[in-house]
Amino acid sequence: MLNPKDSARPDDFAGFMRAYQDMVFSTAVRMTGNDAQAQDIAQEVFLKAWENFGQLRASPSAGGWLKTVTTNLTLNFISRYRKRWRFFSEMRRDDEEGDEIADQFEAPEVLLPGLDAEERRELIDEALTRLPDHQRLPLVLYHFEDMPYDEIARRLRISLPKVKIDIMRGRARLAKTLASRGLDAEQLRN
Amino acid sequence: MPTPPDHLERLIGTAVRGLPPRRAPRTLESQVLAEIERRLAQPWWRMSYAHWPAPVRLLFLIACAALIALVVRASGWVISDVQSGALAGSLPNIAPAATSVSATLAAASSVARIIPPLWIYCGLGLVAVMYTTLFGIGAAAYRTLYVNR
Repeated sequence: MLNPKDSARPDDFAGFMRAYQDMVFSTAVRMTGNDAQAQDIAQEVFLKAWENFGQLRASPSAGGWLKTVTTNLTLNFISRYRKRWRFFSEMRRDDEEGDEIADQFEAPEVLLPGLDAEERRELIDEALTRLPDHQRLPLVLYHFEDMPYDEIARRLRISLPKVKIDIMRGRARLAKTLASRGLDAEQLRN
Repeated sequence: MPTPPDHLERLIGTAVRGLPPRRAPRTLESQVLAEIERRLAQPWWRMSYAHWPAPVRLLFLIACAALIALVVRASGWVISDVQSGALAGSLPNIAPAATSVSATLAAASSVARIIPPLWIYCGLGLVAVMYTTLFGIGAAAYRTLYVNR
């Protein structure tokens, strides 16, 4: 292992951090749905990056390395609360009614039409935090981290059918929320 | 009419494609840099082995090797002294301890001779059945409560 003392100064590292901190934080916050937890995870990621900065500073794959470490640390973080998460995931909840309503929802052809990327990002991130954990996490891994279903099932240690159902229901809920937000935004604009 | 799953997948995929990242909190950078400064200010012996200076690491390895050699050699001396009876004078408790261990072993072997072999086989069989049953119950519980969810 390279000693960061030998290879870098904090000033160099600050520039490196500025280039990647939004990506690292976004990945963590979309997976956890919690700003404070995401900030803790991002801090841990950058401390690991500091330890390996001698190799990372000139590496063209530094972004990929950071993304992988962020995903792994976030999954580790979530697995620490796994029992509680599973408990809520398996409970017959009142919000399952929401799933049934979302399953019946007729989605529009396009979501959030006419909004720019930053406006869409804001609405989507806000809608993601409203999803239950057991739907948001696999949905984010599938749509934002490009992880296939079987890999998600393996990493979350849940069955493949459950992953598919959770993602499908998460999509329906998200689409329903975004469709209503999109209409609100359009009305505000007009 | 409910939306087909394929359409929903495309819809969400299109909506999230090319989204800009969310801005990290302003405090993140200062927190990380402060933690780095704190770590840099630590003396080497408070850090992990990988961050020790090279001469200290070498010295540590030599000391470990010397300690291992000393332990091996000392064990050899003790064993050879016990075998030759040289320690009997300096360690008077060894002889009574050896006597009581051998007496216990003799008692256990005579009890084992008295018990009919059929009982021993039945006992071993019972242990095997109980182990298999508990293992099966555990595996079924794991598959039911943990995996197939």
